[in-house]
Amino acid sequence: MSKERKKVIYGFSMFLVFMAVCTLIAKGIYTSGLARVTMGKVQSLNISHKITGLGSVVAGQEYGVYVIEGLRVHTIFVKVGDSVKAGEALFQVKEEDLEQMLSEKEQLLKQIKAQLTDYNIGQQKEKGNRQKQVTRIQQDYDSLIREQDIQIKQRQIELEIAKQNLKRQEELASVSGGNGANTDMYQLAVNQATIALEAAILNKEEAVKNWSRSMEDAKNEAEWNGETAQRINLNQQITQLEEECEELRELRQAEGIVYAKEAGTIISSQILIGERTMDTACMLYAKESDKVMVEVTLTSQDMEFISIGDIVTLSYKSRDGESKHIEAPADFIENYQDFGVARFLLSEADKISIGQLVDVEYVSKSELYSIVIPKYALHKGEMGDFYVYVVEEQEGILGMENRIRETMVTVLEENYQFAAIQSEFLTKDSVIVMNSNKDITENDIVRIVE
Amino acid sequence: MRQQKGKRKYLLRLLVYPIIVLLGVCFILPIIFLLSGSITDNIEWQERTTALLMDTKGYIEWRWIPDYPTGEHFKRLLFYTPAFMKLFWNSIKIVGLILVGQLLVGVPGAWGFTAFRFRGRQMLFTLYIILMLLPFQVTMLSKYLVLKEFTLINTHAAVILPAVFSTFPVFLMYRSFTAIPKELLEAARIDGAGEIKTFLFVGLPLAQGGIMAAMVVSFLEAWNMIEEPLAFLQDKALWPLSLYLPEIHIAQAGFSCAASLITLIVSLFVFAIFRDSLEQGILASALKG
Amino acid sequence: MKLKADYSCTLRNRKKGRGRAGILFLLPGLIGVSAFVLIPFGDVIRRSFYTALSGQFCGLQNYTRVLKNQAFLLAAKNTFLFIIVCLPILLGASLLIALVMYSFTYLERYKALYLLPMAMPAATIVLVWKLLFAKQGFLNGSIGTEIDFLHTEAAFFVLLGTYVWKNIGYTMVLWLASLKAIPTELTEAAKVDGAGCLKCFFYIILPCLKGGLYTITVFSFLNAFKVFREAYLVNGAYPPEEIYMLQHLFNNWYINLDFDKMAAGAVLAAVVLGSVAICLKRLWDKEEN
Repeated sequence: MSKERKKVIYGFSMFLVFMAVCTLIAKGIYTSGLARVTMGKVQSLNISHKITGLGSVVAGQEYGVYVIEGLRVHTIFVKVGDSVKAGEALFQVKEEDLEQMLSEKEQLLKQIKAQLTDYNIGQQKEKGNRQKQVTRIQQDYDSLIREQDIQIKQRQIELEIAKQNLKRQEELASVSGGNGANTDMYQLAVNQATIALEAAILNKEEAVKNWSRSMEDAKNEAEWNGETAQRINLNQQITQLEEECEELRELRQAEGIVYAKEAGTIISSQILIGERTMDTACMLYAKESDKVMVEVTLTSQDMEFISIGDIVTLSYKSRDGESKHIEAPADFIENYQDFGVARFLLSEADKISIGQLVDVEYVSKSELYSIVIPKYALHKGEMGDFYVYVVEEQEGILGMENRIRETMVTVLEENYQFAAIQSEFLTKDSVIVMNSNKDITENDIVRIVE
Repeated sequence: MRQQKGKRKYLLRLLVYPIIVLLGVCFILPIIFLLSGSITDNIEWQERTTALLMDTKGYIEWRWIPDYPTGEHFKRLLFYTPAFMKLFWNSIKIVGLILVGQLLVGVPGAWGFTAFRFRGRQMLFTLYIILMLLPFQVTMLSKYLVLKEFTLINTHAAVILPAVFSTFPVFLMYRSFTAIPKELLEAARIDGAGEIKTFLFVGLPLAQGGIMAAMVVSFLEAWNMIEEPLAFLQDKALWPLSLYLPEIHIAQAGFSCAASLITLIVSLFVFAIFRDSLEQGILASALKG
Repeated sequence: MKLKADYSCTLRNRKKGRGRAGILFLLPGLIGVSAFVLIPFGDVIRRSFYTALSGQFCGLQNYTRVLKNQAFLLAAKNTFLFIIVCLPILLGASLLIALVMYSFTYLERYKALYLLPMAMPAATIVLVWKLLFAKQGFLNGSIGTEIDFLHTEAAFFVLLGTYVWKNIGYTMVLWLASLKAIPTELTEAAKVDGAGCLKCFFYIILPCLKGGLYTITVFSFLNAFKVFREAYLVNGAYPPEEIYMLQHLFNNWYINLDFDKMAAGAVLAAVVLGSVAICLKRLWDKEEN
C-alpha cells in the first residue's frame, strides 16, 4: 500500500466518521423536534353530571294561626323556627281588651237580634196585605167573566135570528122565482152577526188572559216565603257575632293565651307586642306531621338532568354539629326561563328545622356510552366542529413513523371531565391521542411516549 | 534531423497540451458547477433561473461565485435531513456488500475462465457476455418473480444478490487475468503449488490492478444504480442514496447540488483510493520487471 | 515462447485435471448466476411463447406481433442508430486521446479529469443538463438560440454527448493499458527500420490493440444501454421519437403488463446481441490464435 493510498483511505474514513456524526446530529435534531404524545384507549362510561345547589328547608304547606282582629298583643312566647307541640302557648293578648271587645260584641248582638225580630213582624204584615189583594183580583175576575159571557150569548142569539131570516128569505126566493138581491142583504146580516160573535169570543179570551196574568203575579207575591236579603244579612251578622263572642269567651277562659292546635314549626310571625292583631294570620307554621321539603333553585342547564323521582343527596349540619347526609327524592320540578326550582321530599324520619340550609347534590348518570374520552383529548375546530387526534403508522424513510390524523367527531354528551363522542372512524377499542407536549396538527410526525 | 524532430515535438506539445488540459477541464465543468451551486442560496437560484422555472423568454444566468455564498444547503442536508443520512448508510451497506460479494464470487469465476480449459468454456463465457449485455428491463419481471419466490423482495438482499452474481465484473477481470503469461502459472505449478495456492499467490497479485479497476467500475455501477432498487425495494426506508436525488425538485436546485456533491465525494474517494490501479498499465509494469 | 515448447507435453497432461478444478472456481458464481440471471432469462424465454393475460400457449404469435409493432420497430431502429453512431465516435475519440497521452506521458496526470464524469450520478447529470440544455439554458444563452434540446430531436445529440462524455475516460484508460502492453521493442524496431509515425500506428499499434478492442467494444456497448437512465429521468416514459429506445419500450410494456410482448422482444434482442457478441468473439479469437 502506497503512502498516498493510505492517506486517501484515512481521508475516506474520516469522511465516513464525519457522516456518522452528522447522522447522529440530524437524527437528534429531528427526534427532539417531534412532539411527544401519549395515547390512551377510549372508555365506556356513563357521563355523570353533578348538580350542586344550596337549598333550604321549606314547609310543605303553611298554616296560619288566627285570632280575632283588634286585640292587643301582650306577650309572644315563640319565635320563628321554634317547633311547638300541640297545646303549647304561642302568644297572649291583653285580657282587658279582650273583655271590652267581648262586651261590645255581646251588645251588638242583642241589637241585631232585636232588629231581626222587628223585621220579621213587618214581613208578616206584608204578607196579609198581599193575600187580600189576591182575593180582590179573583172577585174582579169572576165578574168580568160573567159579563163577557153575557155578551157572547147576545151575539149568538143575534146570529141565530139573522140566519133564520136568511133561510126564510131564501125559501121565499126559491118559491117566487129568484130575487137574489134580497137574499144578499140577509146574507150580509148573517155575516155581520158571525163576525160580531167571534169578536165577542176573542174579547173574552183576551180579558181572561190579562186577568189571569195579573192573578198569577198577585198569587206569587202572596205565596212567596223566601228569605229576603235583609233577613239573611241580619242572620249572618248574628251568627258571626255569636261565633266571635264564643271565641272571645274561650280566649278569656284561656286567659288570653292562644295555643297551638297541632305540632309544628313556626315559620313566621306577623304580630308585634303592643300592636293590634289583624285579620290575616298572626303566625304561620308548618305542621309537624306534614312532610318537609328542601327547595333549591338551579340553573336551566342543571335542571335538564333532574327529573321527578331522582334521588338526591342532602347534606347539612345538625344541631349537634354533626354532618348528616340523607337522600330524598325529587317531588316537584318547575322550569322557568333562566332557572328552575326543584323540591325534594324529606321523610318524616329526617328532622330538619325549617329554614335550615342544606347542600343539595345530585349525580345523574347517563346511559352507558361506548366511546368516552377525557375532555383534554377533545379539540374544537374553527368552524365549531369537534375532533380528536389519532395516530396512523406509516412507513417512512426513517422507519415506522407515526403520523397525526384529525378525526371528526360529534359530541353526544359531556360534563366537565369527559365527553361521549361518536364518529364513523372510531370504535370502542380505538386508541386516540390524549396529550402532547407541543401543539400538533394534521400530518405531523410524532413520537409515542408510554 | 533530431533537432527538427525535437522542434516539431515541441510545437506539437504546445498545441496539444493546452487542448488536452482544457478539454479535461471542460469535462469536469459540471462538477465545478455543482460546487458553486451548492453554496448558492435559494434566493439567488430563483433569481437566476426564473426564466426556466416560469418558462418565460430569456435565459438563465450564472455566476461561478455566488454573490451571497451560504452553507445553508449543507447545513440542511447534513443536520436537518435524517432521511438523507439513512439512505446514505443504506447505500454504503449495499455497495459494500456487493463489492465484497463480487470479490468472493467474481474473482474466482474470472480465474476459472482464464486459468483452465474445459469443455464449454467459450460457450459459457459467451453466455455470460450475452447475459451481461441485456438491459435490465428485459429480465425485470422475471427477476422480480424469482426474488419473490425467495421472499427477498423489499429487502436489501433483493438488490445485493443479483449484483453480486452479475457477470460484469467477471468480464472485466477476465482481461487482466488472461494477460498473465501462462509461463508464470506453469512455473508455479512446477514448483508444486496447488490450484488454490496458484490462484492466491500468483494469479491474484498479478491481476490485482485489473481486479481493482473492475471494482471501481463495479462500485460506480452499484453506487449509482437506479432501476434495480426502484423495482425491488418498495419501502422508502430501504432505498439507496441514488434514489434520493431524483426526488429533489428543480426548485431546490441548491440543495440538489449539495446532495449530489456528497454522493460524488464518496465516488471520488474511491477513485482516489484506486487511482494507481487505474492508471497503471494492467500488467505492463509487472511484466517489465 | 521457449518455455511453451518445452512444457507442451506436460501441459496437455495437466490440462484435463485442471479442467475440473476450474469448474470448482466457477461454481459459486455459477449457482448465483443461474439463480439470478439465467433462470429469470429462462422464464422470459418461456413467457415469450405464452400470452400475458390468459397464460395460454401461443407459439410464435408474440414474435410476429412484436415484429409488426410500430413501437418496437421504432425503438429498435433508434437503438441501432444510436449504437452505430455512438460507438465509433467514442472508440475513436478515446483512442485519439489515449494515443496523445501515450505519446506525451506528461499528460497522463490529467487522466483523472476525464475519469471523473463517470462518477456523476444520473440524477445530477439530469439536473445540470436541464440547466444547460433547456430552452432558457446556458447553451442557448451563449449561442442565442431557443432550441429545447431536451425535448426535441436534438435530444439524440444530447444523449450522444452524454455517452461520450461519461465513458471517454475509462475507455481511454483501457486503450492506454493496451497501448502500454505493446512491447516497446516492436515500436523501437519499427522506428529503426525507418517507419514514420503513421506507419507505426497502422502496422504495429493497431494490430496489437485488437486484443483490447473486444473488451472495450463490449464495455462500450454495455454503457450505450445505460444512457437510458438519463433519458428516462429527463423525458419520462415517452420521450421524443428520436430517442425512444428499446428500454423505453420494454419499460412501457412492463408498466402496461404486456409481458408477452416484452418477453418476445427480449428474446429477439438477446438473439441479436448474442449474435453480435459471438461475431465479435469470433473475430477476437481469430486474432488471439
